[in-house]
This record gives sequence, C-alpha cells and structure tokens, in this order.
Amino acid sequence: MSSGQAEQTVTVRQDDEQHESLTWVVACAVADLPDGEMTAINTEPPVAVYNVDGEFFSTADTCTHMKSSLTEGYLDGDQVECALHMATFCVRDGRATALPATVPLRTFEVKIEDNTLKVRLPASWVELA
Amino acid sequence: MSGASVAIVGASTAGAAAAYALRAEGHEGPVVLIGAEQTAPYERPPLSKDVLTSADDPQPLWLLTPDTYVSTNIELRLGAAVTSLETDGSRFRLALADGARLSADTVVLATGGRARRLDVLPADPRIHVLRTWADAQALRTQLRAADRALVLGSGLIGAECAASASSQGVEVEVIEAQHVPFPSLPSHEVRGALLRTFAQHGVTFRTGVTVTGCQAGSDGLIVSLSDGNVIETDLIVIGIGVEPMTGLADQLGAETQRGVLVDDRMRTSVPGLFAAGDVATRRIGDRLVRHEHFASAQAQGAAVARSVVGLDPVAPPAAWAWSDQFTHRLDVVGDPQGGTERRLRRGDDGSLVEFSLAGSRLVGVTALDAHRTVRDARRLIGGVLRAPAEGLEGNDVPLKQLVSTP
Ligand SMILES: Cc1cc2nc3c(=O)[nH]c(=O)nc-3n(C[C@H](O)[C@H](O)[C@H](O)COP(=O)(O)OP(=O)(O)OC[C@H]3O[C@@H](n4cnc5c(N)ncnc54)[C@H](O)[C@@H]3O)c2cc1C
Ligand code: FES
Repeated sequence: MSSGQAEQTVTVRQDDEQHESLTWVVACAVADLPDGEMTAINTEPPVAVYNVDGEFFSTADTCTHMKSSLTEGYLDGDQVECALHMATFCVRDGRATALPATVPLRTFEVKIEDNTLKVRLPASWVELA
Repeated sequence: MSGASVAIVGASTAGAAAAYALRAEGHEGPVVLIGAEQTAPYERPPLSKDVLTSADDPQPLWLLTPDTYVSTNIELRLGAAVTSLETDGSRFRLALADGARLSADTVVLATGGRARRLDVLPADPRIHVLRTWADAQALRTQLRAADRALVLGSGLIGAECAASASSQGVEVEVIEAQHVPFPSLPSHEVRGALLRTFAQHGVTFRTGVTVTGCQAGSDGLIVSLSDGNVIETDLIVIGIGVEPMTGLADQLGAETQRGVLVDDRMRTSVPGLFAAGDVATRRIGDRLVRHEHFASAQAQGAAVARSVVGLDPVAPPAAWAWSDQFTHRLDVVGDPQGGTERRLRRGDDGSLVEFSLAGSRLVGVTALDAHRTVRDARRLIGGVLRAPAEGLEGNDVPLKQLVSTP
C-alpha cells in the first residue's frame, strides 16, 4: 500500500485528541443564533455552532471531504449539507450521512451560561486564532 | 448471500464507494478491491484543479481513510490489473498482472475509463493525458517550467486544465474540433460567459480545427493543424474524452453498449457480474445512459452494493456534474439536452442559470456560480412547474416555490 504516510497522520490525530487540553470558549450570544441557523467561530481551524429547534450543537466547520466551510452550506433539521459537493453530516454526533464524505466531523460539548453559547474546544485551536 | 465473496475490479470512485457501501449494508463475506494503479483510491476531481495549481507539493485526497480498509475489513490490492476473468457459471476466476489468482462469487466491474489519445501524435513525454495521479504529477512538473501549453479539446477536463495552466502564468491555447468552445455545455449563455473569462485571462481558442501532426523538437513541439496553421508549444494536454474499459466484460461475453450494459440493479447480462461508474451504461426506462461524473460514479457504487446484498434499488439521483474553472463554478444537473424549451435566469451577482423544460417538466439545469439554485434543482429535476415558465426567470424566487417535487 502506498498510503503509509496518511495512515500515520490519522493515528497522530487520534492520540492528540486523547491528550489535548480543552477549554470553554464563548461562541456567540444565544439571541444571535436563532432556530435553524448556524455560524462559524473564528478559531483555527474554525468551528461551527448550530441551533436545531432550540437545541445547540457544535462541530468542526471544515468538511471532511475537501475542506469547504460547512457554514457556507445549508442546515436542514439536524443535517448540515456542504455547499461544494453536498455531503451531509448529522450535527448531533458528527456522523457522515451522505457521500462523498465518509469521515465524521469532530463534535464539541456546548453549554449556555448568562445567555451566551459556549463550546469546549482544544486550547491549541483557540490560541492560534 | 451475506457470506459470499465479492471482488471489485477498479479501485477508484465507484469501486471504493461499492466496497464502503457493502460493509455499510451489512455484507459480511470477503471484499477485495483490486486496482491497476499503485495509489490507494483517491479523488480525481482535484487532479485538473488544485493538484496543478497548488504551490505546495500536493498529496492525494483519499476516498476512504487508510484505516477504513482495516476497520471494515476491505482487502486492497493495488498495482495489479485484472488481466483475465472467467466463470464456470457459479464462481469467477480472476488472474492478476502480478501473477496472483483469485476466485469470487460476485464480481463488480468498476474499471472506469481511460483517457483517449490521438494517433497523429507521437509518443513524447511532453504530450499528456490526465486521468491518474501519476498523469497529474507529470503534468504539474512540466507546467511549472513551461511558457506555452496547447490543450486539445474544451470539454470539462480540457477547460479545467486550460484554466489551471493559465492561472500558473502559462500562455494557453485551446484547440476545439467542434465549432463552439465548450461544446458539451448545453447553454449558449453559459458558454459565452465562460469564454469571456477565459479571454480575460488571455486564453485563446481555435475552433473547427483538428491536429494533423506533430514534430517533436528539442526545444518544443511543432503542431500542424487541419487549417494549415502551425503552432509551437512546450507541452500538449489531450482532453478529448474517455474510453470505457469494457475488456473484461467482453471476455465473458457480457452485453455492452458503449459501456457495460446494466439494468436498474446494476446487473450485467452475465449472472453474478455487476458494473458501476464510468464503465457502466444503465438502462433507465427506455434510455441508455452512461455518465462520466464523480457523483454518479459514487451513487452507482452505493447502488451496486445494495443490489449485491439483495436490497431493492432506490431511484438514482438526478445526474450532476460540476466543474471549477478560474473562479467559476459550473454545474450541469439532469439532462438539459432532453428539453424542448429554455428559460434563463440572470442573477444580480453575475450568476446564470438555464432551465431546460420538456413541456411543463423541469428536465435539466445548466448553471454558472448559482449554488443555491443548483442545490434545489438536484431535488426538483423531473418535477412539474407550478406557475408559468416565465416565473423561472425571476431572480429572487426560490426554485422550490416554482417547481413541485417529482
Ligand atoms: C482530471 C479529472 C477531473 C475530474 N473532475 C470532475 C469534476 O470536477 N466533477 C465531476 O463530477 N467529475 C469529475 N471527474 C470525473 C470523475 O472523476 C469520474 O467520473 C470518476 O472518477 C469515475 O469513477 P470510476 O470509479 O467509475 O472510474 P475511474 O475513476 O476511471 O476508475 C477506474 C479504475 O479502475 C482501474 N482499472 C481499470 N481496468 C482495470 C483492471 N483490468 N484491473 C484493475 N483495475 C483496473 C483504473 O486503473 C482506475 O483506477 C474528473 C475526472 C478526471 C480524470
Ligand atoms: S468539500 Fe464538502 S462535500 Fe466536498
């Protein structure tokens, strides 16, 4: 197999996820994210937050197919559809639900405090931003 | 059926989608994905775009992550073309170019197509086709050093190569045998808008001419044209279409119609033999359809898997091809040629959409930079107009309000 290089990248990422430190970050005011809307927060890489009928979710904003921004696409119920080649993901658990994507999105914990929506992100994503 | 062994011949868009979907549909028997190329299944669309233009050394974009083959138990055999395929009526025997022999209960042909070449051109490393990762690497390297490039053909791949080469500062000329540039694009207005962009970037077109010969010199290629003109260039990209790889189907006597003929369950005329992707010609109603597009190849891969595990077919999605040229995004949805009437929508943002209607039914859309309309159109092709056709020209009305869901 000629794919040894990519294999390594995948493993490294999984290790990272287990050991990295996470930090709560303010995403937006709850009032700024009405039902059925989504928005990206300016981390590096960017993160998306969604309001699905009053429930809030957060995933990576970068499509696992060819790296388009998912918040440039469309939110339909709990499914976000990428504008570029129309892959869909479930924003609840990040699952890839339609081709061309097969790799899930990373998801993040959310909470509401003082009318603001907060998400728990890798500290390194926030420092770089 | 779920313990049966499946051999998928061709490890690319359709083949990888088939293998992935077989596991997703619960198939438990062995799955082997056999590919002639050395590279694990990767995305072809970037080959004519980012791979040619990116400043950094490009890496293939994998169709499935490398760990997927392990976690879902898909055996990947690369760099080994299947050279012979036989059946005794119940099992298939496959011989591989590396000398290996395999047998399988079910075979899926996902052998795609190979780029057509031109007999009048000599074999020379400066004369390229673009189908594989290896092709793209070779072209990328030479484009970086070239001043001039000649692209033969202005179909999607020719046009993308021309745009990518031009955006790298290469002086590009396009030779098109037909009398209009981009002849495969079914909208006069969209072709016109695109041609203006190419002209702004200094890409020149010659239409209605063909190449009649080429002399390979040490500091360039001297190309003669059917109109008597002679052009000097540093490299040539041939983008004149694809030949479906039907050889293995022919060995078994499976019926072919430009591609390997399959029914609505992706079955060929040989029991146990299926086909999917660019190589497959599908009988859909009373029409024979063969696509050469990414989304169709993936959908057919998923459809063949459903069929192999014994599930009923789902209706195929509307055909959809996209292309990226300079900063434009082009989309062709459905079958625009199948219409009798056309309606044009011009957006204030420069977007263009041509709707193709058969009576009051929406059968196709050709669009330039019109994401949202294309997205709606993919669901509405085949639907009937709710209002007079002029409504389609209204720039601000969502398509959903104008066309019923089919
Ligand atoms: C440069 C380029 C850009 C493209 N851009 C777009 C785009 O922007 N949008 C779009 O919609 N479509 C695009 N396409 C088209 C899309 O990539 C194809 O439609 C799709 O890849 C077809 O998939 P396939 O699996 O049917 O066939 P292929 O991708 O052709 O794969 C077939 C594979 O089978 C292998 N094979 C053949 N014979 C054998 C054998 N006997 N034994 C073992 N292996 C064998 C081949 O080596 C090949 O790897 C592009 C294609 C190219 C080449
Ligand atoms: S980049 Fe999202 S579907 Fe292709």
